[in-house]
Amino acid sequence: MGAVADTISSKRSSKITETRRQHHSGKKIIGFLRRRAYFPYVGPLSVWIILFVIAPLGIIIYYSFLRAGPSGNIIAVFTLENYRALFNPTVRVVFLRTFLLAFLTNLICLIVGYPIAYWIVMYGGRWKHRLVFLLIMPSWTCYLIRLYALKTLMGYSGLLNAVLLKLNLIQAPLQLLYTPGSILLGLVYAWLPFMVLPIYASLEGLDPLLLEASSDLGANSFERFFTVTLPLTKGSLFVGSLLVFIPSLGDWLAPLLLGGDKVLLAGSLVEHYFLKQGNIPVGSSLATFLTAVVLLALYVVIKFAGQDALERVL
Amino acid sequence: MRRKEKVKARQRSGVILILLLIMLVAVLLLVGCNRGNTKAAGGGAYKKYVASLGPDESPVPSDCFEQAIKEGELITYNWADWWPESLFTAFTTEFGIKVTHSYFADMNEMVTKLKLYPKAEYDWAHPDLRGFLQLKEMKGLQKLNHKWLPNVEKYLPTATKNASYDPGWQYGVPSDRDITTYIYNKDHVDDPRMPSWAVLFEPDAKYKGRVTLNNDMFECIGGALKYLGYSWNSTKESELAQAKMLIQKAKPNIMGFESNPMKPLYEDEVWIAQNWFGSGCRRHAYKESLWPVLPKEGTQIMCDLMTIPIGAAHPAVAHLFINYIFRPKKMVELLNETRFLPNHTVAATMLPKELLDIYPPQEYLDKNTEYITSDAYTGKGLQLRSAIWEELKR
Repeated sequence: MGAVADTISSKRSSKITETRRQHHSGKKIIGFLRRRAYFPYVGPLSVWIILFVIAPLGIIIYYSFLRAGPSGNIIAVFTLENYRALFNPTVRVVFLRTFLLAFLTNLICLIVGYPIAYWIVMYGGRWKHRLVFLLIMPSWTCYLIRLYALKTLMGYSGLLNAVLLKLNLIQAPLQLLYTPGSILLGLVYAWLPFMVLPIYASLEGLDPLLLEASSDLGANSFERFFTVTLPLTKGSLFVGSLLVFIPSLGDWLAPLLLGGDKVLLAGSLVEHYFLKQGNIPVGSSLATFLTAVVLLALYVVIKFAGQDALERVL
Repeated sequence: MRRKEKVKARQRSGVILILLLIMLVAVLLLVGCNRGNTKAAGGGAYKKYVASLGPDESPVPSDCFEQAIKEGELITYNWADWWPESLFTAFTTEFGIKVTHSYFADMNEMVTKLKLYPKAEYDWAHPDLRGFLQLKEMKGLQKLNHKWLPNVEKYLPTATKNASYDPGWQYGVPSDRDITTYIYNKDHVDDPRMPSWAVLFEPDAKYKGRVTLNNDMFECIGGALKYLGYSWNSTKESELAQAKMLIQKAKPNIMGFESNPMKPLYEDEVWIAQNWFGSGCRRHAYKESLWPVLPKEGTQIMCDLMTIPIGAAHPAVAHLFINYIFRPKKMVELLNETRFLPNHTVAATMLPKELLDIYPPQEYLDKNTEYITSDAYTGKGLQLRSAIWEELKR
């Protein structure tokens, strides 16, 4: 009981200090400089981010503003005409389809991932760490190889069909590959560990006294889950969603290998412009647009989830 | 007790240091020796080279040979998992020139790479005709020195020397020829319309879901154009629109767009696959029931060309290598492995009978096949086809 009251009062006091801080923003900057609080921002992490994230992105954005030559090569003349390609009706259809697929992937990963994390934390016992290790281990293999492995499993003479045929559940092998469902399965399989890990971390950090307190106050297990566990691990759901949604938006290997390349997704569209049409500036403009959309999604999620929810997980 | 241990430890570390020094010296000696061998200099080497050749093999002139030995390295850029490694190791053994390989898995990838980085240091690149046309348009290829390629001068067919894509063979030497066709599984497919393109583009209902088309806009749209009776290189919008509608109607019946459905073909998952003739011969050698066809409406004939990009650091070695490949024995060794159609007057007669029996007859190639042109594969033709491909996959 005392623990619950403490949590409530600490939440209220942090809100008060936040408003106080906002009034003193000028003093904050001076304090920032005097305390040399900029050190974390000039450390090795910043070098890494600048070299491998900001610089390549900057190059692509730079290309998107240059003119395309007759064979799609780059001519160093500033122009905005590449962005006219965004008004192509294909772009609308493809991006909507990609969003739907990424959203579905996210949803399925949530529904499947939360029980896995919950079970490992609550009932794992001594095996907790080993189970998490087993979950992460496939991610050490290259993404391409994992998709090929899935292709072998789901193929006509693959393991799944062979087992079903042996058990006489089906008469002829099923067409599992080259359907939209197989793309979804591929994406879920690839990104599920990234959903499970933040939820696992968050559940691990959950104070068991809180659960004990709530059952003392008369909650049954359902109420306990929905009123205590889920709200406290809310941040991890958002983090996991980010880690699943964003890669799924840009993925083009899964539709190529598992979907038979019958439909274009956002990543495949960028690849089409870069490689097949060979128009590098227009491809860069599409890639910039995709990045902008991803950043917008990131911003919305952070705004929605709240800063403190994210901090609690990280 | 402690002093004894210290002395022993010092002795042990001393022994280890001496062993390391010996290893270092040995490595340096080996490396030094190798370098010495490759720089085997002097006119004696050229005379030895000329003497070692057979009666049907011509040597490169001495200036090419001298420069090649001085350059000492060959960086190749070829399709992955294709040419037999024995060709390259024999080249290294004969001339002492180191060969480094770079691979690409996709023609588009290769052209885009050279588009973004025109001065890439590949000495010898091996695009197919489409990549060659695109690279030539981007001015990414060096002109060849015909004096340095006597074997090619002797054995390249005259018709090929004046081919429409590169009259006077200035930028590339074709190493083989191939045609686009489709492979079918004789055990499962029995269509009276064979060998028409209709079997692929308008398959019978019982083959639904067992057909794959090439995942390449030029091959797929070209095949559709040929089936409709138009030229493979058409740039007329009305004809292309008809081709688009044909493929759109075929889309629900196909399993997917897959350029290399090897495993599905072997496992009887796919029964009709759009592919190339040489590849079909290799599949047939692996699995008896797979057969390539000669489409009766005609198809395109293309070749793979050996070229020298403008960024090449060792052009003399590249010329030496091209001349080496065009020796009849080496060409036969290559064609035995790749099973492509020959572009070599003498090697065509030296191939084993089983291959010659399967190969399409010359009349078919002359009458029913056409080379691709620059109009279709660059500029407007490329834009039109690319737009169609985008719409097909929407």
